[in-house]
Amino acid sequence: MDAGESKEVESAEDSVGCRNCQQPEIEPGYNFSLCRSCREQMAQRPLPQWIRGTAALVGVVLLLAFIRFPASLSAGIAFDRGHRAETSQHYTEAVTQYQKVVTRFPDSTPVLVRLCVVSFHAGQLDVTAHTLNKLQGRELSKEQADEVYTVSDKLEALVKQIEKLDKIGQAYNRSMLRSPQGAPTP
Amino acid sequence: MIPGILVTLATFPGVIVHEIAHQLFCRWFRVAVFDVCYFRVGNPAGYVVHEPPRTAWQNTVIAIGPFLVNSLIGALIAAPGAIPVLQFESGSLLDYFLIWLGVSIAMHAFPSTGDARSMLQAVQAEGTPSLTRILVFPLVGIIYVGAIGSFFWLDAIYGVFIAMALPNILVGILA
Ligand SMILES: [Zn+2]
Ligand SMILES: [Zn+2]
Repeated sequence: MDAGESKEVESAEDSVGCRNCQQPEIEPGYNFSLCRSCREQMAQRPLPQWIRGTAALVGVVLLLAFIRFPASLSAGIAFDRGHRAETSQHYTEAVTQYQKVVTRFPDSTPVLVRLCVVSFHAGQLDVTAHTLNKLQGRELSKEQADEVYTVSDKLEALVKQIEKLDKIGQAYNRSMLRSPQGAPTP
Repeated sequence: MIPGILVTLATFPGVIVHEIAHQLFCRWFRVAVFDVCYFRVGNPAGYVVHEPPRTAWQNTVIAIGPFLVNSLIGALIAAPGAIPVLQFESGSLLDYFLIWLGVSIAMHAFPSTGDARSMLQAVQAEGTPSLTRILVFPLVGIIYVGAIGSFFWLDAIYGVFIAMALPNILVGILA
């Protein structure tokens, strides 16, 4: 698959003037005999219309890419920083970084999985619950599924415990209200 | 050769950018251009026929100009698509379009055997300063290896690397 080449035309030794227009005054310094105006014209050979059009389209796409690049780059950087924070167990920082990515790419499964895990470790259970919801019904790799189910099970256990504590608390409050010492002081 | 032709067809913008780069460098150095083919189904897929430039240095720039131009444009176009697709598995249609165009352009960065031959002639030509010879000769070698390597998909591997891997390496460095 040769992309394309730049071929050279052999130089002439027996030149009798410009090889294009036969004018005797040729431009010095070149191996190929051409007068100044012929060389100027041939060096400035115009690009065909369809090539100009294609080049313009590529230019437009390049501009579009420039506009999109900063957001993609900063999301990539945030994802990387999130990973680093996660491995050094700075979970709150990891949540912040992964959330930056989710803002830009809300449907990214790998990022949602990471956010789900680190938000649980950081104790931001509302974020965990929200991400678990978003992950529901998605195709996950075995590793991802293991991590997500572990978090989900732990969260469920935690919620049950909280409910239990809440019931105890309510019962306690009720008993306190009934007893004289528990009555609010005026 | 059929897969080669299909790949060339699928990546035609790269061939066009490659030939435009040759032609514009000729214009830059006031080198007469006799014929240009921007794209065709054949081998080579495109070409620029021009007179011998005045110096081996100019010849080198005309021969490897597309390498720099295609690599740069390909990388810049693919970068914003390559990050979400590879890292977040979350690419839009536009992201995949950017990757296709970027890889197409970057994989046609490689100088062809014709480019290498033209450089070799310039280096061997009488009156080429020995310093230029010393500097350019290894480059000719590398270009030959690249041109021959195209046969083993080296150009495609290079294109994918430039378009997909480079932006993600950049992320790793900046993070
Ligand atoms: Zn070329
Ligand atoms: Zn003339």
